[in-house]
Amino acid sequence: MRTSRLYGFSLVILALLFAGCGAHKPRPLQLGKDQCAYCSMVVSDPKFGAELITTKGKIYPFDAIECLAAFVYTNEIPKDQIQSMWVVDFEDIEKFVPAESAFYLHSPQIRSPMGMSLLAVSTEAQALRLQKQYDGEILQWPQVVALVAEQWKLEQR
Amino acid sequence: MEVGTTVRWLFSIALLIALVPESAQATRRVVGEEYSSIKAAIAAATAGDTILITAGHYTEGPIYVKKRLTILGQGNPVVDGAGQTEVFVIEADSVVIRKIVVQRAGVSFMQDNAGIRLEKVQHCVVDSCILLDNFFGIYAAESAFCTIQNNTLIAHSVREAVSGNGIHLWYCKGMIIRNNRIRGHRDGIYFEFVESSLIEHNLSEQNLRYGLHFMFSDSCQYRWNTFRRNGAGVAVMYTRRVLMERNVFAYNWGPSSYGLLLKEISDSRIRFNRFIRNSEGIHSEGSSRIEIDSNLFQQNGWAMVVMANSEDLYIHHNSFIGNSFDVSTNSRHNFNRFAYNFWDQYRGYDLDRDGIGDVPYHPVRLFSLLVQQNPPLLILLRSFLIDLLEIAEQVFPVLTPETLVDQYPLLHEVEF
Repeated sequence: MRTSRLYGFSLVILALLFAGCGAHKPRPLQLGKDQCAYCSMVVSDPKFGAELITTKGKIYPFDAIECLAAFVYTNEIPKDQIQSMWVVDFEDIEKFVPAESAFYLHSPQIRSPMGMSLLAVSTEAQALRLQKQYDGEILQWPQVVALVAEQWKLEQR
Repeated sequence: MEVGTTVRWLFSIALLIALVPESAQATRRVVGEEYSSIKAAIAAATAGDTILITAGHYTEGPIYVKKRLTILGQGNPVVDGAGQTEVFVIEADSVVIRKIVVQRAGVSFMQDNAGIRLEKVQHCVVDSCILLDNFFGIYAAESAFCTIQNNTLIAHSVREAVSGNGIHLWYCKGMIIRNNRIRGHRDGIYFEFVESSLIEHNLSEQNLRYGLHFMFSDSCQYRWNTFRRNGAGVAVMYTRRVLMERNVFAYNWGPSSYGLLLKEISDSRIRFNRFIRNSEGIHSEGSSRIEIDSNLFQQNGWAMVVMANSEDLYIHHNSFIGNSFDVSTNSRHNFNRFAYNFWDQYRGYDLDRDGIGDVPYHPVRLFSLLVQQNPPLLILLRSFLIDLLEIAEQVFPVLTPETLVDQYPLLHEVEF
């Protein structure tokens, strides 16, 4: 009886350990708890959020797309240690889209947390529809990084 | 001659004022008697009129005010957005809105719905209103020289995503935020792209994120405010020239919670404040040219955490009392100056009796550095091994920053 309980317990521990290892997928942002890895602001509005996952599986949360872009541009962690980058779909906050394949809308009418007026969606159709509502221009990831680097006068390390 | 002309001018102006016909004077329009709805009264009004709203419950969608009106409540009238729409949208200069209960501006995914929104206006006043359970409380966009005072804002949402800010300013200047009480919003007071504005005598408590939050602002000051029990304290970020004085920052506990978080702040002054029982009293990242003087740091986990990317901070005449750690940092490099502070953990002596200790004080303890790098180590606080290491480090400093030192530690608390 006692040994079986012990086995059960160790299984749970093992399961937890492996769960930790395999976590190379984004996890939902914890509002009010997660602190942006770039600007230190506590994340409160998930629609603009983003995440970066390292090759070791560590997850860096961001309150805004522009923070992820700045984090990557300034090489806060070396490029070869980045496993994946994700942005939240503005229209479906449960959904993370790979940063490189998302579509971005840049319009002064969008009030994103860090003032760069950027949102991300997963399909071009969504982006075009939102563009009708907010005007602005549709961007791809490299343009987003370039835009943030220029606006914030970032320097590469 | 000069004086004579002036006097003559004044006379003619006075005469003009006296001659203005009676008909142009303000009319008082009473909602609840003459008019059944606020919208009807506003539609009938001309600039300069007063809309008096008597006691009652008015569920009227967004009420647009596009004329210079005074909107005055009598007997606590309730104006209700019914959880759907905005309530008051002010789009004319010099509108005054007083003594009205504004409630339930609807939560919206796309729009920042507010109880009272000031849109591109000047010289408006929002005074003595009560704002209950609105998504955003008072929202000012691209406005200037308005006063928001004596209001009470309370929200009860528990989730940040459905909670907006209490008093939210976006691209404003010359604004005064005075004597308001704000509770339960996302950020109590939020400033983004705001210039030359004043925040004073407010109480901001139990907000889900920050009691006060600055972003990209310039030349503002806040004084005599109390910020307590907010989710993450107060954050002043990406801002220049802020004067922060005589505030209380208290009871902000938690892993990412600070009395005051300074991120990329420059050319500012922090003085006469009290930091009491916070996880970290002041946390400074990437900030420069800040004078931090005459503050009281009492019973905080860390009184100050100064990250090595901060420079030219001058920290003097502060009192550090009963903190678990006085100062911590993340590097051996230090580009800041500490002098003339009172440290209750100072064990030096003062043989020449000038009130200044004869031995310098090193406020950074080895253990606080280790904990900064590896938080779970905190469990070893006050263990014998750590005490031994501390003594060894004091004798031969290897890891702690040598230049982070108070050469003139005071023997007595600073009075202010």
